[in-house]
Parts: sequence; C-alpha cells; structure tokens
Amino acid sequence: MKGYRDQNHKTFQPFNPLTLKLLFFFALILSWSCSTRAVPEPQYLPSAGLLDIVKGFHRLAREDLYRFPIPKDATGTNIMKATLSRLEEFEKRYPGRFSDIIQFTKAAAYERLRDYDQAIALYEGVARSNGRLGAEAAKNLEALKSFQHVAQGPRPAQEPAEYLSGLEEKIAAWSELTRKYQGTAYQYLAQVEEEKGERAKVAFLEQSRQRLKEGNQLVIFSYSQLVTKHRQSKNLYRHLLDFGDFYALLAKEYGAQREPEGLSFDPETFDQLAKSALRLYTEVAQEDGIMEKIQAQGKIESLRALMEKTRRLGR
Amino acid sequence: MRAIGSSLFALFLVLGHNPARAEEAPAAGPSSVPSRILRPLPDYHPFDASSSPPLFFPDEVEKRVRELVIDSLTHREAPIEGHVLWLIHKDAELKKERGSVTGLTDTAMEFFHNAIRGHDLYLAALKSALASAPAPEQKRLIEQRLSGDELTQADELLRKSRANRWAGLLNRLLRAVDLLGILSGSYVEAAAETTMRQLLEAGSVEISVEERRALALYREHLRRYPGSRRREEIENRVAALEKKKKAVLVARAIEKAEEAMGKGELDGAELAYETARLIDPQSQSAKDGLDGLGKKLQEREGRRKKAPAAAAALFHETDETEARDDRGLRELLYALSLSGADAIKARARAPEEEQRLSALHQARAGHRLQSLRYVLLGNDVVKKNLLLGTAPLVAPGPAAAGYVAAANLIMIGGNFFELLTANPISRQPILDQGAAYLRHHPDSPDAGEVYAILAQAYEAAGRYDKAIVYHQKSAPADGKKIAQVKEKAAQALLQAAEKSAERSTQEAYLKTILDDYPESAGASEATQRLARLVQSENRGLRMSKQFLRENPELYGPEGLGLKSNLFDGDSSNMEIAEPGVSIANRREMLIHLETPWGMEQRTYPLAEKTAERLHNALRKNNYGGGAELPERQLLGAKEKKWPWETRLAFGTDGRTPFGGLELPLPFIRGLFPLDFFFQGKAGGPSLFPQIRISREEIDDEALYR
Repeated sequence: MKGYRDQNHKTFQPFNPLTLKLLFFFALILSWSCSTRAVPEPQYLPSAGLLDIVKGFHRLAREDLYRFPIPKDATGTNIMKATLSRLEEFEKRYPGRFSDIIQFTKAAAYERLRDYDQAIALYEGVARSNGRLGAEAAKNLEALKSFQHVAQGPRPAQEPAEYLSGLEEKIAAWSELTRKYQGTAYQYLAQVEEEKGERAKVAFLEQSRQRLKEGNQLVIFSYSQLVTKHRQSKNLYRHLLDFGDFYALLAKEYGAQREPEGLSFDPETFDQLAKSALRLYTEVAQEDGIMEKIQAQGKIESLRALMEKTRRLGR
Repeated sequence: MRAIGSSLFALFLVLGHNPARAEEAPAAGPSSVPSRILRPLPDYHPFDASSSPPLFFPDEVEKRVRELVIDSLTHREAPIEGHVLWLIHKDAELKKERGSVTGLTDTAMEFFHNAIRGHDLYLAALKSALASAPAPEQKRLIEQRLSGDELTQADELLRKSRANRWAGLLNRLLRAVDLLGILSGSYVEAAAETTMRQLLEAGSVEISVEERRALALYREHLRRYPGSRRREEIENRVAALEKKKKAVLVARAIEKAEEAMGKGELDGAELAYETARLIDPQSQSAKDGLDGLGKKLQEREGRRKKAPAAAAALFHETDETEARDDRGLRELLYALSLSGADAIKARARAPEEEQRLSALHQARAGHRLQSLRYVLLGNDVVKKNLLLGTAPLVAPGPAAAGYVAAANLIMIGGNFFELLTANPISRQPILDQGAAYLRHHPDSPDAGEVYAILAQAYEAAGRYDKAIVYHQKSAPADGKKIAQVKEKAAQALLQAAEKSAERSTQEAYLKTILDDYPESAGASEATQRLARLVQSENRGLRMSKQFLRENPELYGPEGLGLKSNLFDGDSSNMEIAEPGVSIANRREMLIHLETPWGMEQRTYPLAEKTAERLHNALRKNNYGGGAELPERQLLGAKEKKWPWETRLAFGTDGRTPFGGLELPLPFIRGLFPLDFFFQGKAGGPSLFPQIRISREEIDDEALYR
C-alpha cells in the first residue's frame, strides 16, 4: 500500500519546479476556459455524478482521523456517511456502472468508520477483479485483516487482573500496528484504536476501583497517562473533562463519607480534590471553539456550588 | 340583467376558444361552459416530457474518467494532470465538432487541486483556478473553499476586528459632523470626548469574539499544517492573542473576586482569585489578591474561635440582655406547663418564623432600594458623566451644565425604562427567602401572603408558569389576577413562537398555549397561526420562484423537470407564482401557478426518480438534502436583503439613548464602507456620516465567549 504521508513540512520555495508547472498548467486552463462556454454532453451525466461523489471523498478522506474529527461535507454531513449514502443512490440510479470503483470507495469509507467487517467484505469483492483496483484492494485487505484480528482479540476474562492484562495486550498490539503502518492512513486508525483501548482501561479501573488496592490512585495515574500520551488526540478535551469528573466524584464521595458538619471532615482534603477538578475544567473552559467548553463552564458552576455548600456546612 | 348575463356568456365563449391556451393546457373533461366557470384552470401538466435521464454509452471519455478516479483512489497523483489535460483537449475537439463539451473537466480539475500536497500550493492553485473558472457554480465553489480556509478566515476576522476598532474611534469624531446642522459641528467637542473615552478605556483590556475565533483558527491551522510558510508570523500572532486573552480572563476573574469581596463573600472571592491563578499562574494581581484575602480569612477564623468564649461570657450575664430575651423563654415554659403539643409548637416556632418573615421583607426592601439606586445611578454613573460632561464643558464652557443636567434626566428615564422592561435587578433573594419560609412554615397563617409575594416576584421575572401556581395558592386567590397572568403567559409564548425559525418549535409553543391557557385571548391567535402552519404550502421544503430562478438546475431536467416557460415571465403560456414550489413529502408537490385568473395552487404527484434527482441537485448546490426532505424555506438572494442595505440601529451613544437608520452612501457603496446615519434622539434629529462597522455573524458564537 502506498499510503499518503503528510508532506506539509516541506519549505515553500516560490519558484520550485512544481510551482512553475502549476503556472503553466493554469495558463493552459485559462486559455481553455476562455473558449469553453458550451453545453455539456448529456451522455456523460453518470460519469459526472461519480466524479462529483468521489472528489469530495478524495479531498477530505486524507485527514488524520486521530488528531481531527471526520470531516464534514458542504452540507455538514460526515463525509464518510455522506459518501456511502450517495454511492447507494448512484448504484440505484445507474446499476452496474463503475461497480469496482464504487465497492472500493465504499470499503475505504467503511474502514475509516472502523467497520472492518464491511470494509473487508467489499475489498474482497474488488480484490477478485484483475484490475489496478484489485491489487490495491488486496494490499488494503492485508492491513485490515490484521486490524480485525486485533479488534476481535482475546475475550473478556472473569478476573479483573486477567481482563486488564487482556486490555494491555490489545493496546500493545495496536501500538505495534501504529509503528508498522507509520505514514499511512492505517497509522491514524491504529492510533484511534490504541486510544480507545487505553480509555477502556481507565473506565474499567474506574468501575472496579473499590475492589482494587489503591484503586483511586490507579485511576488517577491512568487518567494522567491517557491525557499525557494522547495530547494530540481529537478527544483530549473529552478526556480532560472525564478526568475532572473523576476528581469531582472523589470530592463528593469524601463529603458523603465524612459529613462536612462532623469533626472528621478535613476541608483541605476536600478542597484539594475539588480544586484538581476545577483546574481540569478550567483548562477546557479556556479553550475556544470546542463544544466541550460549554460543558466545562457548566461543570465549573456546579462544582463551585458544591464547594460553597460544603464550606458553609463545614463552618 | 339578462343583457349582462349574455355578455358574460359571450366573453367566456371567446376565452374558451383561445387557441394558444388550448394548445398549452388542453382541457381533460368536457369543455362545457359551467365546467370552465367552476374550474378556470384546466388540467395543466407542468413537467417537461424530456426529463428522464439520457442513456449512457461507454466510450473513451468514460475510460479516462475511470482511470482518473482509480488514480485518485490509489493515491497516484502524477497521472491526474495528464487526465485533466486530455479532457481539456477533448472538450476543444467536441466544441469544434458539435459545439458541446464533456462537462467533466471542472470536476476533474478539482481532483488535480486535491492532489496538490502543501497547503500554500493548494491555496495558490485555487486562486489561479478562480481566475479561470468558466462556470458560475464552479466559481462559487472555489470561492467557498477559499473563504472556508482557516487561515483566510482568521486573517479576515482579525482585519475586521482591527477595522472595527478604528472605525469606532473615527465615528466618535465624525459624530460631531451633523450634516443637518453643519454649522454646529465642533471637532473640539468630539476630540475631547474621544480622548476621555480612550483614557477611561486605557486600563481595560478587551478581546472581541472575532479575535478569539481568529486565535482558535490560527491554532488549528498550525496544528494541521506545521510546515506552513507563514508559520513564524502566525506563531507571533497566536502568542500576542493568547497574551491578550489571558489578560482579559484574569482581569475578569479578579473583577469577580473584588465584587465578591465587596459583598463580604470571602469564599467566593477566594475561588475567583484561584481561577485567575489557574488561568495565569504568573499573575501578580491574583497573587496580591490572594495574599490580601488570606489575611481577611485568618481574621475571620480568629473571630470564629473567639465566638464560643464570648457566648460563654454572655451566658453568665444576667442583667439587661437576659431580661430582654427572657419573655420568649417564659412564654415557652408557660406553654410547656400547659402540656398542649400545638401550643408548645406554636410558642416555640414563633421567633424563628418571625425571623424568616422579616428576612423576606428585608429582601423585598433590599430589592426596592437597589431598584431605586439603579434608576438614579444606573451602571457606571461616574464614567458616563465624565464622557457626557467633558466635551460640553471643554467646548462651550460652564454654560453647558444645564445640558449635562438634562442629559442626566434622560439617562434616569432610560434606566427606569430598562428597570421596567429588562429586569436588571435580580429578585433571587426574595425568591430564596420566600421559598425558605414556605418550606419551614407551610401551614402558617402568613403562608398565603408569602405565596402572593412569590407570585409577584415570578411574574416580574417573566416566569409566568410559576407565578400562576403561586397565585393559585395565595390566600385569597385572585381569579382576575390569575387570568391576567395567563394572558401574559400566552402572549409571551406567541412572541417566542414568532421569533423561532424552526417550524416544529413554533408548533410546540402554539400547542402549549392551547393546552395550558385555552381561555386566554392569545389562544385564538395561536389557533389561527397553527392553522396557517399546517397548510400544505407551509409544509416541507419551500422554494420561492426567485430562488428557483437563481438555481435553474433545481427546476430543470436535472431537478424537478419543470417546463422552462414557467419562468419566462409570460403568463399567457402559464407562469409560476412568487411563492414557487412546496414539496410536502416524497410523494407530492404543490406548485403555485400564476394564471390569468389569479394565483392557483395545484398538487402534483412527485415521481420517485424526480425526488431523487431533486435531492442530488440540492446536495450538489450545497443546500443539504438527506434521506428526508428538509423542513425549510429557500429564498433567493435578493429576497433576503433589505433594499439598499439599510439597517436599523438602536442604542446609546454614551450620552443618550437613540434610534436611527443607517443608509449607505450613494455612488461609493461597495468601494468604501461609509454610510449616512440618521439619528433621532433628545435634542432633535441629526444626520452623520459614519463608517460602517462590520457585524458579521459568527457560527457558534458562544464557543468564543
């Protein structure tokens, strides 16, 4: 698989050969456009329809899905879902036309939506053909099968320790795939899966913390690991909010266990927990242009009310 | 009478034999005269017969398209250029032979653009393509891509924000040039006001929504394109904007802390100072604030520790204090000796109940006092008077004192109006105290009065639903008052429905009126509006004639397949009316037709293929169109704008409230954003030249506040 490495790191040179080539190309297009004001041939409508669908997909499908969310098309729809539904419509309207291209594009959309089973089934169909797409589909199949193998991995065990080690193995396998497919679209997909595995691990620890020794410390440690390791992820603010929620939960639990009106309640311990949550919420609330900002603002207000009430009770 | 009847009959006969109309719209049924009178518009078929898609035959163009798509899907960018050039040559050939083109080159060119690696090159390519774009749709798409680019958007927002700041400054100077009384124009006065305003604003840091959005976009750009050739410049901008934003956030947190300190809420102040420290750990003002607060908190703790000792000392005092409180205790002991549980409860509760009631009355008195203060002083009375007084006192001298006094009176009037309409003083303390009283003493004889107080407070705050509930509980319940509040609630819901753009939300508001306030006058209005909403022409996707004219592909063979003569402005061959077409669902559409007999509405079945074509055409033109038909109205560009881009403006210029009209300056409109501003305010009308401040709407504005 050739893949598509991000080459934006290159320094821009105003007169490099590519620029000159572009200038020449656009001069040619300009001369063509000046002479082109004619009626399009109606027989090419199906080709135009296909080009129209694939061009949008082609432009936006290169995104790094680990760092950025799935792009939206001009109508604000997830480009992968929109492409799938538009291809379905195209197939209904022109049955049998460009079928291998349609199957291949659909498979590419499914793999980016992480529906590996559907993607594999479609790639297998294309791989059976002898054309250029067949060879490409076969390469993609190999990558996807290794993804499917890890995704379907070991079954959840009964024992928490076994379950955790199963999760760890899965995370390590995704990490291995990230390295293997470095510089391709599959690297981003593997990173997404690795992050998902690590989030699942934190969720599991959070759920079973009462049964684990130093459970709360373990959860805090794994949350810290998650937000440090995935600083570049599109889900970072979500993780920060969840981490803040955990601290807020600890503060609430502390307040419930040692009533603030009683003598065993230590206001400093409560404050430390609540302020840790507040620090994480504030980090998110300061960020502009993200939906999590509104959530964080609400959570800050709610936590402030809790702190105020606890202080009043503790006096 | 008989003669008139015969003439009408003859006229109908003549109309009935109009050959042109007979050809366009052949009558389906018997063409008897009564039938023509009852059904003036005969069965008319508005669809083009040739609307079915043409057949497709594979040829060399299709093979080339296939190669192009495969190359793009397999990331082989190099051959794409060759495919585009081939299509350009093919177009030239076709044009020479048949006067047509493939119609694929524009889209193929986009594949070429998409294949360009490096954001700067991609933008350069788009800009070149814009200059050569042959079709208006293509031009529109490229413009959309260019304007949608984060960097372009951020630069534009920052430019607008700077321009607005300068325009604001210049407008303050231009405000002295009253064209209606040009001789009264004094730059000295305007310069004095501008200087004072700048001095007052010198200490305050502000960051506009535009700047915050620009910051977010710049950061996104750096994240997405770390190799951008403008990296260094953008990083500097980001650093400057970040610094500004941090300073604003810290200033706000400290302002909040100081406000809390002023109210004696030390814990609230501590939280606000800590927030400032979280935003900027280096903030000296936050550190100083926390240090100062620490001392106060220590003092408070000290006082608290001393309190029990003081109480113990007081316990041994048996003189005046004891004698004063003794009466309550004696009464309680007397009740205990009676052994009556009710009497004990009544006696024991009385002081606490009185305390709560008095707290409620204090909250009401506090609200009245705050309201009075607001009317007399308003917000920033010193700042306003400095702005207001400096200019007149500098220019005409002490003689302007009368003007300042008059302007202050107008300000008081404005504050009073705001107090009546905008609820600037919170009633929350009254609501809290009232609720606390009722929670502790629900059966008290005073509960009825407290319910009435709460009802009034909720009514004034615009919470009519709660106000009605409390009015009903108050003793004695005032039926007339309840009816009045219900009427107010219905009117508020009607207004909310009017303001809402969503049909479903409008429906929900109107239905609430019918369900909750059926006896109100607003209910009959709601019934009428609901009936209008459910009319078929107001349902589903509505496309006006103007909109369809601007988007011919939506009504042409690639869309609805309507006849082109419906849009040629000639009503003799049937014309579509201004309301256009409404598509209620996937099965039928309603067309408004303009006929010699007036506007007619006709419902036609919508073929599945036609519906699909329309969906595709809508999506191609970026008007949405998912599995279901969108519930909205599509209007033409001309229908959305005010004539001559006139704008209404209301506000206050720092001195007095005003209402005005902003009119663009003829001849230079589009070249320079200078308008006339006709202003009506105290002291007579004025006409000023004014630089237009850009007021572009920002998506998700709440995310940048």
